[in-house]
Amino acid sequence: MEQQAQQIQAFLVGLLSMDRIGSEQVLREVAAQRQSFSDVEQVITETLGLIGEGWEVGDYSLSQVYMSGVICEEIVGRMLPEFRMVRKNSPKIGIGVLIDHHALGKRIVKAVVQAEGFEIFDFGYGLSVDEMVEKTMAYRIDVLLVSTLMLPSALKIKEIRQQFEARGITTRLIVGGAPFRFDNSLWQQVGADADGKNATAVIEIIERLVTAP
Amino acid sequence: MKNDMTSMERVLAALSHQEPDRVPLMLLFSLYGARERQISVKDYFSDAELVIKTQLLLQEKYRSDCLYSFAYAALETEAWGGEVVFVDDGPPNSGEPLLDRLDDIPGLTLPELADSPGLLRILDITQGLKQAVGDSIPIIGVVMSPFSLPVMQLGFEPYLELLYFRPELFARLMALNSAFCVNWANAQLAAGATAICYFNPLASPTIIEKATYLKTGYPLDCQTLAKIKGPTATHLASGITLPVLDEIIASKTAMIGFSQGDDVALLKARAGNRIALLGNLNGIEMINWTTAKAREKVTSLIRQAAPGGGFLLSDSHGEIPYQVPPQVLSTITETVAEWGQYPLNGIGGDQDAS
Repeated sequence: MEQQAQQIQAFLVGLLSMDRIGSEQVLREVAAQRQSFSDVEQVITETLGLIGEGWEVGDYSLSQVYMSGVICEEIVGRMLPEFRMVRKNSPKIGIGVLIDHHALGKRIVKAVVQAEGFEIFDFGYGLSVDEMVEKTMAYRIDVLLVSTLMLPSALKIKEIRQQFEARGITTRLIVGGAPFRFDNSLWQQVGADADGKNATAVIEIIERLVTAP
Repeated sequence: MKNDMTSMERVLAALSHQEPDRVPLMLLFSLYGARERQISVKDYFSDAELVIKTQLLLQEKYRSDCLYSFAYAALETEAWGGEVVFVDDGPPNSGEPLLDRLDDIPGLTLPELADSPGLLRILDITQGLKQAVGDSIPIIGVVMSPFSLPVMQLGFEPYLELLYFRPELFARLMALNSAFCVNWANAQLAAGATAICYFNPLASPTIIEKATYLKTGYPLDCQTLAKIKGPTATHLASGITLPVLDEIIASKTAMIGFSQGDDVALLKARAGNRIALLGNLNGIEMINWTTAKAREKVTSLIRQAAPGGGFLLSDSHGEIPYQVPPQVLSTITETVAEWGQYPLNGIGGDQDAS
């Protein structure tokens, strides 16, 4: 346990200082010692969780959250094929930015979700409600992650929920982005199933939603 | 309610850390004018005369202590040749980034203000407001800081790559942006703006960690602010301010727009008489406030931030959202009138107006 705590601390320092090489070295040491990707995954998850929590309380910046996600995405992309790691029974996850053209939040969440071995389809940004619903249907998405930057875009999520209900679509809806950070009850107002406060929270929600009846 | 001062006198007293007749109320209306007129945001901002009339109407209706010539943030990137996407009920957004590749930065040239119809329209609005109110009500102009503008010029992700990994190109873009910012601020001051609100969300550790900001954006902010020929207010647009408060004070700005995430009492204590505070009602939550909630929020804020002056009551983001019901704004106005009178008898102690 103590060794893992030290590895998490070393990985945290590497990510916060945007040291790609040093960060990868830590994870490769973890993998070499334990011969398992699940231990690597645990170090990643716990470290990104610490960074996400640190952002919530003002200790770390959004840019550090973002760069940490990107670095993890890169490292995992290199290491996964070596371990042939694929999550069994992964739900089909879709992600997109509704209306807005700022995709930072989407990139962070996508990186972390991929780092956890989930299958995720990126629908892009600047999407209309209709486009979001059509892609959800076309890809038979189980969990749709919708990111927004502006308040009017966040309020439009209500229309996605309405279309889901009208068409009998049972896809679970997780929302995120600035408007939801400023108003803790907004996700309920727009008819979402959950509020993805940060990327690691999204992982927990996905696992909870897909196992819920 | 007895108001002895003009809005200008009230604001100047607060900025001097004296107690005016009442707490200044700075309702920052931009696209809310389109809601008031029941026309599209795009049509509203294309008609300078209508914006002038609506600014005056909203100021009078809600007894706000300022006029606001700001239209939308993406207007500046429009001047650089960027795309703006209009929506019916929200602020226009930046569309596709101005540059496809960071390596295109050396080819960028400084836009001439005279070549931008959007910026010229803001100058017309500023002149019209100045003609209408003279020196009785402050007119607040707006610029984006050189350090924060690239989020719209490049997109957030390429900008972070520029900031962290491409120092020479970063310096090149910052030099251009600073020159543009100074030109734009000084043109608004020449047209009649009383002060410039310097929007700088990336100065907040909410977005960029302090160590990086101090190495990169902060020296540039100090240089840029020094060249603006009038008073400035630095606004972090909902980002927390406390960790960078001392640095922002040292950058010689008169006021700081603070966040709903800041500890108001601590910020007030730390700011002392060194800088005035502008904030921090949560504009997003405001759309669902009841009358009781609006009164509770306003009285709580006055209780914590208003004693001794140095405080101007406003939202935390620099714009009243389109979706805020007029009744909420009226309640804010009435609560400031009732509980914001100096001396703050009845609100400084245990009594609660809610």
